Amino acid sequence: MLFTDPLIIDLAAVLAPPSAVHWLGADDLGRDVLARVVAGVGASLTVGFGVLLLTALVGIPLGLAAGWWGGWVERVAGKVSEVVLSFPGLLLALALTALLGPSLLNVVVALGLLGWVGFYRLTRVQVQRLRGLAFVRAAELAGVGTVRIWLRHILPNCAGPLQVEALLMVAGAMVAEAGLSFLGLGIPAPYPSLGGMLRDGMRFMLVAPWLVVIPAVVLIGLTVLVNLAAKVLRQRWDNAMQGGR
Amino acid sequence: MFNIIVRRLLAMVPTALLVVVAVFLLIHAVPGDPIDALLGERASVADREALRVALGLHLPLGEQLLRFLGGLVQGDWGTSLVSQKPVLGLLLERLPATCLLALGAMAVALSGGLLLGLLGSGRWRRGVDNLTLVLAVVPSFVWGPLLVLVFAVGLGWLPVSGMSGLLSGILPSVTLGVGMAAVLARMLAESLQHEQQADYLRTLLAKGGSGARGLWRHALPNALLPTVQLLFLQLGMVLTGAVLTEAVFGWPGVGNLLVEALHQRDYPVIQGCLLLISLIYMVCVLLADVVSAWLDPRVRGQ
Repeated sequence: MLFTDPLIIDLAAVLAPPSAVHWLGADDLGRDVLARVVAGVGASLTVGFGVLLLTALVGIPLGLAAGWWGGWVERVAGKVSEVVLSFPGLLLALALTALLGPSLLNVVVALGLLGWVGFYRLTRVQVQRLRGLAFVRAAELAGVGTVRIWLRHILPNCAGPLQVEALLMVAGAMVAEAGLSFLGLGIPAPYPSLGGMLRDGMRFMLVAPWLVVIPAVVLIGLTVLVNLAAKVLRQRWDNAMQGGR
Repeated sequence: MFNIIVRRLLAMVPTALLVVVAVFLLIHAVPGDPIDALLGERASVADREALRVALGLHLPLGEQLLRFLGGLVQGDWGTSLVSQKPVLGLLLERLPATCLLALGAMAVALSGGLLLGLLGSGRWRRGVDNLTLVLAVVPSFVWGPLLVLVFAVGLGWLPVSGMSGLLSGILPSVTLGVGMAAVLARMLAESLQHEQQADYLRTLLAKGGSGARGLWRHALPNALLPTVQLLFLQLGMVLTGAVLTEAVFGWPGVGNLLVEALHQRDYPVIQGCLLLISLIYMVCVLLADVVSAWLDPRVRGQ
């Protein structure tokens, strides 16, 4: 049941309400809503973790370099991130995906191009905080290599904030993807996305309200879940820091 | 105070210039040819070249940029490829509707934020905290359709979409404002809780002052400082949020203009919308700084 093809059209079931055959009903083309929701959540998570991977791979090394050495890396990356931040977030992603052509990959690329700033700034501040501490200086004086210090001493000590940022990044990317798809500029039809289902569902609100309610409820659940996880993680890290002192 | 404003304005100039250049490069350097979008891929080479020259796209990128900057200064923001109207005119035509929506949303945000923030620092702390968390993280375009379903389709109290009269503005304003209200409320509740533990308030209570007076006269004004700053930052974000809200309700504002232009690949209009929205955003960030300096002598001293 869960593994029905979300693209299969069943003309007999057009706008069918939830039933034994189609557990969550069918949309205006007779496609199974449950299958589309499952595939849409999949696409959403793919975008979320794709963006996370991209932004972490760019932002964290840049932040390490800028926080550790300062100099031109810090100046250039700082200016670029300032310009990125002076745009209101979603707007650039919107323009980028639309101009590159809507596709899952382009959504990830567009969101990644903006999101690395968060990781960069967080990592840089953390590195600057740790850089002056005795154990880092001691490692340096003992002749430990820079990369080894980063991996063994710096990163484990900012793991908590980075994990929280990672979860918030996933949540933000999923919301952004849904927004782009809602505008028809994200994941292109006929591939299912929660935002796209919501927009398509709005045309049939009078006859098939579940086409709006189901993707909306799933979206609410998904974003609240990821954000709650981030909140729990932050509290746990804060407690650990206080307990250690 | 005057010095602060001038200094911040001057500091904004290079960033604003970079933003303008970034928008220009975004439009011109991203793959995808406006000529293809206009004529289709089967047009003859001669026609394509003629149009390219007519639009000035045959010039080197640097020269195009200079022309674009010159035009901006003179109030010439380019001409729409689709409707052949000047971009600045199109923007000004759509701006009032968006401003109206932003105003409505701010009203919802401010009243909702104050109410929930005060409740959230009092007895119902936990419940309000959970409620505002959900309201703050779930995006507006999810609430919009649900609100339409309940109040327009179900109860029939309000119109489904479009802009006609006062009633039609209620749902869009609530949709756009509810998330901001929640964020404001969280901020206010947190700083109120912080203030309530402060020494000055404990002194007041120890001297026999009333809790209500302590809240209204002392804790609230102090707690409002960060909240007011946040409010202005949100005012800047309102226009981005408006893109989605306008799409939900078919509201004839700048956001819908942008989405239409993106679908039609109307490059000059996209460029104009991006510029307008990001410049307004930058001004709001500036205002947030100035207002917090005005309200808080500690910031002013820096």
